[in-house]
Amino acid sequence: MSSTTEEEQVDRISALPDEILHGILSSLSIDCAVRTSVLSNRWRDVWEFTPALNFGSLLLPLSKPETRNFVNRILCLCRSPVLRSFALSCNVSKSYIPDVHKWVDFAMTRKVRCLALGFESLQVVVELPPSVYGAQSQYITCMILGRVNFITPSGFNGFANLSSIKLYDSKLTDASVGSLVSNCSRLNSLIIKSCQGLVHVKISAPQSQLREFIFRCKGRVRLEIGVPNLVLLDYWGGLMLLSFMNYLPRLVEAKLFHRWGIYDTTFLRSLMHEVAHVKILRVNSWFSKMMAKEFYRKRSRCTMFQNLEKFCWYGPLKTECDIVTLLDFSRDCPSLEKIEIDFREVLLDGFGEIECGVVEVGDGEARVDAGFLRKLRTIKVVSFSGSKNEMELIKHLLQMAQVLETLYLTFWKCQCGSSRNHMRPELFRGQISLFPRASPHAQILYGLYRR
Amino acid sequence: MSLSPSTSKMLSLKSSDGKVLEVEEHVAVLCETIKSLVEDGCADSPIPLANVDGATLGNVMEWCKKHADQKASADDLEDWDAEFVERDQGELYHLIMAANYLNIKGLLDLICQKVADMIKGKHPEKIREIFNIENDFTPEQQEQIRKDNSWAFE
Repeated sequence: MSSTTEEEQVDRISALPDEILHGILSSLSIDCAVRTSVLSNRWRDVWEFTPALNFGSLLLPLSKPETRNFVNRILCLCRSPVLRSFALSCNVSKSYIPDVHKWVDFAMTRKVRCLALGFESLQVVVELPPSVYGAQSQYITCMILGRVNFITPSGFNGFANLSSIKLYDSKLTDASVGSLVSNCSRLNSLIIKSCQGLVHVKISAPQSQLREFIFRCKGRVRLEIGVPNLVLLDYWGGLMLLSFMNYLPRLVEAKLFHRWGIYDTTFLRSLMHEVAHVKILRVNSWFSKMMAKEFYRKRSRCTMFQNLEKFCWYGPLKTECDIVTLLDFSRDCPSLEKIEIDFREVLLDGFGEIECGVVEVGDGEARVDAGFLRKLRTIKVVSFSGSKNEMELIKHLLQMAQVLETLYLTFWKCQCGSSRNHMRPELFRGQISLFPRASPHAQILYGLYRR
Repeated sequence: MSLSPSTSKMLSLKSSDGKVLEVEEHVAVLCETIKSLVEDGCADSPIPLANVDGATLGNVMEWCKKHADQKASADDLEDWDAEFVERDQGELYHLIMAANYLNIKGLLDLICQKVADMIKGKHPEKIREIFNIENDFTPEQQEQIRKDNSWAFE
């Protein structure tokens, strides 16, 4: 082995074989990749053989002729016979659609595998060229399309190797979505966000390999799901419009958000039965109303979620009913290990990162003996504001969780500064540290939330 | 045949410098190259890996072990990976070559991404400095290339 000082002076990267250099350049935006041509003779034309053209991060202003020349020139120089990826995002108006079509056609003739097209435009939704649905489309494994008009032509036989597709801000038809699922036999992941044109979508195919389905659209869209291998369902819309055509035996995670419209708790209760075998459930405020009305106010228990390991609640605790329901429900789930709560009204993806601040470790003494939550190990709370209801919930969870290891309690940065600046984390810390805990070793991590 | 951890047997791998490493089969088969040997039934004797030195093989198997662990969550792996690639260029070079030779797509992608991040957004002069690349162009040649690709340098 060479010594460290020697190590520092060696040009390792230029000694790598071309195929690895292509792998490195593949994840760079195209301008970065092209700039490597001036490094040395070794690098002069490496980028030209790289099977990736990523214009995606550049958001090209097509109205400038030099931008169009730039793209044309790159395509001219690209010498890779196949493209692993082609990504384009641009500001487009009607007059430049022929250019866009020409470029997409180019990608299709190079047997592109991952096609990402995103357009920024207020006036138009971009039509895709016919080549996208043609014979060369058999090579596509991954598609990300934004602000396009995605309409599968009649006689469309599916994308033979498509494994994931994400459509956002686009115009779709019910038939196109249906035909994607029934004709693309390898489709694994389908994401539809903020799309228009849908009325009544049926996704159903007994042979479908679809495992992940995310559907978040505004407007009144009826959605019927009949794909037997679904593992993850993420739905955002009117819950009254959702229905299942058959049982989903493999479903592990369900995220069900009600965004608008009135609902009938009895209907939602039967909807819950269809997903009662999941391990992860994410819900917003409709859930406590339904639970309260259908179960807890009738003094009955909800025992259907026998497998539930992780329960996530999104939204503020508006009433005492919310607290009681959440506690009762947690107690009714015998497998529950983790609770995540995001108290914000606005619905955002995920829980972001938690920056940990103060740690408070339990003193090894259990002060209460009321452990109803026998498996709960983790509680994560995002955007804690210290309101009466929130404190009440925390107090009870600490009292009930026998084997709790960690409670993450995070204040949201933005709220600390502005409208809720009365919030003083240290005040709550003092109060919370006095709450009796069922778990002798539970530690509490106080932090700030950042995204 | 399933390769679950409970049924996994040990494989011995022999590095270019003669070191022998015992690795669980379900970990080693993350290397497609080893996987095909196992599937063809050629994995009984110590498997000679002529292009990988002992230290690098140890690092590669550490990565494979982490990624063969079914309990590791995606977030967990991401953090772990980020730390794993914090190495000097010599080590990264040996790792990337080994990942390529052993055909471990995940590890290869990871290090390619790491190297790409080191290039991203930097001026050519800076990139040469980071990687000790010698500029063997004449000033005229260099000017010509810049001119040909001027749109990329704006």
